[in-house]
Amino acid sequence: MPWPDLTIGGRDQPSWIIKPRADARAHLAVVSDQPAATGQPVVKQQRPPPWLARQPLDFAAFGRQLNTALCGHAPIDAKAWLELTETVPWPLQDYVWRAAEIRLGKAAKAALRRRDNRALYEQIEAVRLCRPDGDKLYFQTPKQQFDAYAAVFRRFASPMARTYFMGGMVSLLSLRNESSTLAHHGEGSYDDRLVVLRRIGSTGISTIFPICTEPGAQYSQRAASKPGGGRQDQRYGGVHFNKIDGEDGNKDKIKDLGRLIEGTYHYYEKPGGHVGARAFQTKITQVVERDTDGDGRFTTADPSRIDPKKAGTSMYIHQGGKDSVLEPDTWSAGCQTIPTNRYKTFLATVGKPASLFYVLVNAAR
Amino acid sequence: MRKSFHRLAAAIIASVWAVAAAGAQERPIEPPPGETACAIGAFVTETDPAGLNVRSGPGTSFGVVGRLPPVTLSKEIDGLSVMVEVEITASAKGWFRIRNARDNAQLTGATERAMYGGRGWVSGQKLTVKTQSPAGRAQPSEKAAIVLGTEAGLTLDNDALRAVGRLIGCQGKWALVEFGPLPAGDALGQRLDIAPAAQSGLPQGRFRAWLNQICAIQETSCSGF
Repeated sequence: MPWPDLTIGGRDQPSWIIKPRADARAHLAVVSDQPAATGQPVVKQQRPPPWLARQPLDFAAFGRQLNTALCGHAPIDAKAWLELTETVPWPLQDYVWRAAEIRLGKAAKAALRRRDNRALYEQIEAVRLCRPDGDKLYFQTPKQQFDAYAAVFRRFASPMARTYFMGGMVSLLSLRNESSTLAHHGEGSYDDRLVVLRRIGSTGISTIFPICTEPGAQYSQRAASKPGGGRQDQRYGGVHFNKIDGEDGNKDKIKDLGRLIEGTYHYYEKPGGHVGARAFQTKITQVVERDTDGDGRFTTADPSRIDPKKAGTSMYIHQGGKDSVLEPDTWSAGCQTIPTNRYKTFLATVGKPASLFYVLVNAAR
Repeated sequence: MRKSFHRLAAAIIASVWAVAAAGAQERPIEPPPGETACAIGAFVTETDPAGLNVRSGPGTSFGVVGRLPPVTLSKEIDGLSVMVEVEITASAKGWFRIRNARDNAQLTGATERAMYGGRGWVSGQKLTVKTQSPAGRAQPSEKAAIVLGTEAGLTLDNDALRAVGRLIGCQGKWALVEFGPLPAGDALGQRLDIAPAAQSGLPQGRFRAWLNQICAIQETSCSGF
């Protein structure tokens, strides 16, 4: 069986590399349900504290308690811990484990590797290696939402960004859902999720906005008319062409649209504003990946797709067209754009920090 | 006698040098003489409701061949001024040959206004550009001295600077732009690094620089030029 492709981005990337729950339950039956041998002392297992079972589940407390339990010498009652996670709706269980994973210390991680903890180990490994869900989720409490997205931020952010976040600085997390540049007549899609996070003590605030992190084909040279009539690329027939942007990534004399690769970016406010409002720009050249084969997708099939230089610092965070209309126009040629009808709220939520960290993650689909 | 002659000669040379230096300092950065070809995108800053005259040649003595609509407020974004977009193909004496004028319906949030879409000349006083360069230079060359800069890593394509820009000349992919004065108390001025050469020969608060990486898209930034 070939090793899974962990290259950043691309629709071909597997969402799940390890099958977590089916295996976990089967293994639990083998390990945990075996009766104790007669004559041997019954060892008290580490179970979740009763107060943790209070609903709705506190993800962060679950993580801290699991860490404490694993650091102890007594064996873990894996079944009890697994059952506790099952008290939250299925789509949120992934985030319970994410909240736990980032709270495990070295001793706890070592304990997880013990044979009798395999059921828990697989859960933790699954979330460590897999991408988070980019769809709209309905958390039971605001704290669950914060804990969930804070866990994703801490997993994917650079050490510097994590330090800023833990220090209470406003931080941005974007979960990108892959979409075609050709979608919506090439005017882009607000189908990604931007989470503004601010940690306050042991809890925090999270606010979610729609965002577009990929360019629309309206800025593609392929959508432009050719002298004899028709489009330069027939695949772009339905695109509402606007202007040409991009760089020729693979030297075929066609400018290719680019999008930011996932990672951590340090943004500063642009002096003087941009497109009628405050906007944000990095000071370090950004690496982009380009749709060099023009199929509208950013995949590993695009030849010479990584462009480390030519985008410069041009991938801003700024406002785009409103999303309260039937066909929103995101105005993104690769920038991270937020609908103008939500932009004031976004700016108010962010406040006026000297700088902020933006973590972009390709979500699982 | 000989000594005094030497002193006199030295004094003459010194004074000539001083006058020449002062003259050089007082001269603003100028566009190249004659008509120069260029290929950049620009925006029309005319606010007169009658619009901007497009003429058949570079000067007011030439006949009006068409009109471009003035700046309009966006229905899409509160308070955003949207400008007509033009392509520039040449400049002469502060005038610019334009073509393919168009409204930005995405930003205006309204149907495109009727306008002259052919070729003609308009005054650079009513044109501005957006650059994504981090620096403005004394000559249209990447090797020329930097006379306008901002914080390291940031670029000069902000709304405030674009709003006070006027096109003076162009050459190839470069545009000579005169900026200022910035609104009183504007924080942007403190974040700009303006060399004396950019201000020489100009009224107080104004400065000029050659800019490349001209981005002709109003609603977002550009990565390719």
